[in-house]
Amino acid sequence: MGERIAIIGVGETEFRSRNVEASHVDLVNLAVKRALENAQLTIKDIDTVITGQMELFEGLYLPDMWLVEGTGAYLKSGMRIQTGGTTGTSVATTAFCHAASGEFKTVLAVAYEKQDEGSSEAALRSISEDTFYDIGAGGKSAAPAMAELAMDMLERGAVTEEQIAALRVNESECASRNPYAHLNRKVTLDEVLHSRLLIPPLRLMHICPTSVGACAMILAPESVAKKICPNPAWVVDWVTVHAAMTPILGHQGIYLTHGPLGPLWGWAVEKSAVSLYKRNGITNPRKEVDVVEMYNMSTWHEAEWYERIHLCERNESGKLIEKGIVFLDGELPVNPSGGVVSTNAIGASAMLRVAEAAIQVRGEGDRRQVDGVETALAVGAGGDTYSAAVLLRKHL
Amino acid sequence: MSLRLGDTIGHDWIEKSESESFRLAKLKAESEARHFEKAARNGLLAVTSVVNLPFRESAGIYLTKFFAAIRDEGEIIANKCPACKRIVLPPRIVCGFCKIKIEDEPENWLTLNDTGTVLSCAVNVEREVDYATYRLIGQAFPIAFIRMDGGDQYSILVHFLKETDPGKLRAGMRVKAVWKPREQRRGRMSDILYFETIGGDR
Repeated sequence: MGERIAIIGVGETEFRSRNVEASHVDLVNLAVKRALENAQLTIKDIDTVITGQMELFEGLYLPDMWLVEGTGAYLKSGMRIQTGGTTGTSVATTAFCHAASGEFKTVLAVAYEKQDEGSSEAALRSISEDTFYDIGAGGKSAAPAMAELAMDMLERGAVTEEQIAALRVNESECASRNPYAHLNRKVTLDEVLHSRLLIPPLRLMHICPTSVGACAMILAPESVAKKICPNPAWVVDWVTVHAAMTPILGHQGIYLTHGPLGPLWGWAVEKSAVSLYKRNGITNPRKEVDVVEMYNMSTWHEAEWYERIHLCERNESGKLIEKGIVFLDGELPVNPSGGVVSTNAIGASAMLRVAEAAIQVRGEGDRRQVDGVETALAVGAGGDTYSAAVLLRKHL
Repeated sequence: MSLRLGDTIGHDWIEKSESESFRLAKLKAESEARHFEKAARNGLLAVTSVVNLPFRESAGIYLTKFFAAIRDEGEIIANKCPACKRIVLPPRIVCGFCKIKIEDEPENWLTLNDTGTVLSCAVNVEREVDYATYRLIGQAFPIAFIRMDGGDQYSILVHFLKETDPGKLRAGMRVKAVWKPREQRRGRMSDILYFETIGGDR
């Protein structure tokens, strides 16, 4: 690894289901402006710009070109990153590499999605056809995947529907404290348990929404960060894993609950998190990490990933919820931002994990702030079966 | 709506009747249109664009063999990694685990049975709607992961089940492919209509 690096600025837009007042450029520009304000820099101080969003969702070709006024990338270096749902974390980790390279004094990372302008579902179903499956059998829709996983969790007794509902209630409590969250209304246990059944046992309230919004972060190497930032979030380490595999078949395979490797989303998450722990001497993540931000595309996934990132033993995730350990006031709060089930502007979702973890480490969480955060873990994941785990610390 | 032998399913299969999902989709579209109209009254415009792009993808040597076997023989074929011996379904040029080439030689090919065991399945309560066209898409039938006989733990297909009664669906049930008639097969996965239940559950 090159130089040690830090996150010195974070900016988010308010996430909503629609934003007809802002174009792509306006939206991205707002997040960039807020990140620059947060870092007390101007766009002139930025050396390189990394951008990312899900391709095709808005029908926008070469988005990095159209966005240039919004990102401030004119005549600066940089690149565009796309790794499916993981895009945001991949943008962040690419920015980390740039900052650590010693070539740049500051790096701006921008990720966004404007899902009100097209149909994500239509884009997924009609454009992302693959050669093998033409039957539409679960290949392009995440919901059957989530249902498969949920059914497996129930069958092996890892969680109950009541526990999952309690988790959703906690997420909504967290989201109500986050001024940027999309679904920020507090919901009740009863509402979740009786929300519309989609694919048993999956209900509408278990699933993430489609949101509009942007997130930006500013990175700097240690030599710069120490000079210009009184309160940096140090990026200690990060690990990216790509776990797609053809028998278990690219994006079809991620849904496989009973396959040789288990569900591949989770498999990638486990590989990246465990490797991160090993590299950083973490033996008991539940004690050694103070807060986790993870990509919970459904509340069922969040519960499964407690097992995957070794917060508990297999089939024990229900107990973590039952005891309130992962709640906002618990021993190890998970997703104090409200998580992806509250806010899901897909391209930005995975970067929000890192950004919100940085906010926690820097103590800027306001009403969603967890007390005494020294170490934070952020995990991004997505349908491409990339996963990236990032470890942040308050002190080097 | 019942499916008859010879009907195509999935992307080609469009239900024309107005169902609950259809109405919901229409409502959503109308509400979105109203939202943009309201914005327009405040002097903010939305520019509409519709994209219609036909794609043609090359199957390559390995998948061509696979699809030809489906079309001409009504058979599911796979290849086998010469190093780790695992079965690769659909057949690929490289074993992802071993990262070596699987040569296109007769000894590396095998035919699986068209029977298998259901590992898990998901039942959509409502069919999904394509918001671009308002067509009902997605699955009217349960989607299942099926481990094919004559293969190994890796030889798994994703396909539909004929059985729609959730009470009768379970992991371990034995199923068999129902093929379209030879003259209707085009060399695609949809040449198999669905898998029907056979006896002898595991």
